[in-house]
Amino acid sequence: MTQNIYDNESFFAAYSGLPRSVEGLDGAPEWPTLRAMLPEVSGRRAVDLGCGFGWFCRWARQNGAASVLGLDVSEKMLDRAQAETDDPAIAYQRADLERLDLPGASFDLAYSSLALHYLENLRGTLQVVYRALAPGGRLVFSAEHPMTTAPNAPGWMTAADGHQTWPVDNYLSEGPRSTDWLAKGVIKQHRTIASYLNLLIGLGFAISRVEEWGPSSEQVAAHPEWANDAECPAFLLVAARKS
Amino acid sequence: VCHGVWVGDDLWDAYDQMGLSFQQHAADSAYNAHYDRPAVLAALGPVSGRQVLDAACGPGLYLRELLDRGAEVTAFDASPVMVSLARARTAGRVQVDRAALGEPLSYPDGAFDLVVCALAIHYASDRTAAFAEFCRVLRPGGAAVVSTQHPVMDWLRKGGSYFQTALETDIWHTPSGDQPVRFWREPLSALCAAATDTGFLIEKLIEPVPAETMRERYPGDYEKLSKEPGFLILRLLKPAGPNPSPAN
Repeated sequence: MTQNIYDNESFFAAYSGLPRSVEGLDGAPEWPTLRAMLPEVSGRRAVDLGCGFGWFCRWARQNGAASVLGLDVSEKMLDRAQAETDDPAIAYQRADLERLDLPGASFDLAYSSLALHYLENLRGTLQVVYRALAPGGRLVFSAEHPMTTAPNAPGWMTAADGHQTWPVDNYLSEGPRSTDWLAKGVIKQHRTIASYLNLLIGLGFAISRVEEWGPSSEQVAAHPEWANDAECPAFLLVAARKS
Repeated sequence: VCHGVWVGDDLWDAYDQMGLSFQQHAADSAYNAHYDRPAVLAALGPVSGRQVLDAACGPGLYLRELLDRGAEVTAFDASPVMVSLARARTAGRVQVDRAALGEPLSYPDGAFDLVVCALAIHYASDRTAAFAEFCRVLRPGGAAVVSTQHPVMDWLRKGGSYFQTALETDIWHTPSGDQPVRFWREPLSALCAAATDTGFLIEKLIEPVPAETMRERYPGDYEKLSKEPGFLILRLLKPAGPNPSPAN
């Protein structure tokens, strides 16, 4: 079973205080980039893998989606999602994305924001997602960028010539990484860029777009604490199409 | 792609300067002979009887490999010195033209089954134009295999922002002295977009590991390249049917 860190009391409290939890999609600095990779959602049947508080589910419906299924492993996240949603076309379900079961050819869009890097068996999940998409259906997701997840001991450091750098040694060694993000010992799965893309291609997806997100200079001006993120990509964003 | 910066032929001048010493280096260097070539040749797959274009062929090290595997080979390079070396190396068995990546090529549409472009796309100031020409000269269903410096490696070496597209300079220590080599650095997303915007589908993205032959010959490089990415290879497919609609 996937680590359910979001149901940990102190992690949940800290996560609930993040701008993206308070302000929703507009509080997520990568959202404009991700939104630009989405197909027109109007009339589409969407599934959100790791829906959290349901911000994307509600956005999709506000933009005309026919229906949205929000899936998450965390009861606490789903409780709040449900409390903030009053829309019969949005359904929330508790699901471990590694034991996913979805009906075939029943969605036009699969969306996932910053959830897939928690999964050990990503292939299994994406295989179910591929089958669940109608022909021509889209998968659009963000995940922590492999440069970010690569190190065993993450943290900025000074290189021999004095420039600030991030250790990307162990990039080619895939597997779990333990980080202290909002709580001690949060487990994320590191995989290479090649693994993410080749996994999709191997399942039959065609890659439409690959983006790497870092804050813009305007965003850094507003949040000086993000200066390092402008140097090294925080998120990998991929749009793919079921051919 | 080049953000208004025009850089002329001079990026290729380094190869005119290095000449034979580059051929001697690349014939058995860790990064060329034990890392790039084995991985790119594997990504190309069977070439026997196929029409193969070696784009920016350098001194012709790939040409001999391709001929030995039964391919029908055509090649070009921007450096006149490299063109001469490649012709000499293949003893008239390959047509080697003088042309630069990013310029219009003289070959007809659909002339090739495969294009190989090894460690050269980062010298092209207009990479989108280079990919567009690869796509044009390939038959539908044909593939291009393009190797380049991994953007993560360039960022580790050069620092600054990973996201910038910028001309960088390396100094190569050659037997005839220090040789500045200029190249374009850009993030992976920009390289992928340059390829897919011209109609290619990404068939595979390869972050190679060193060949076993490197382990004893160059143990330090072997250890480093087993952990960190050094080069990146894209295998790109020219779709057989009508082009799919562009990104979404």
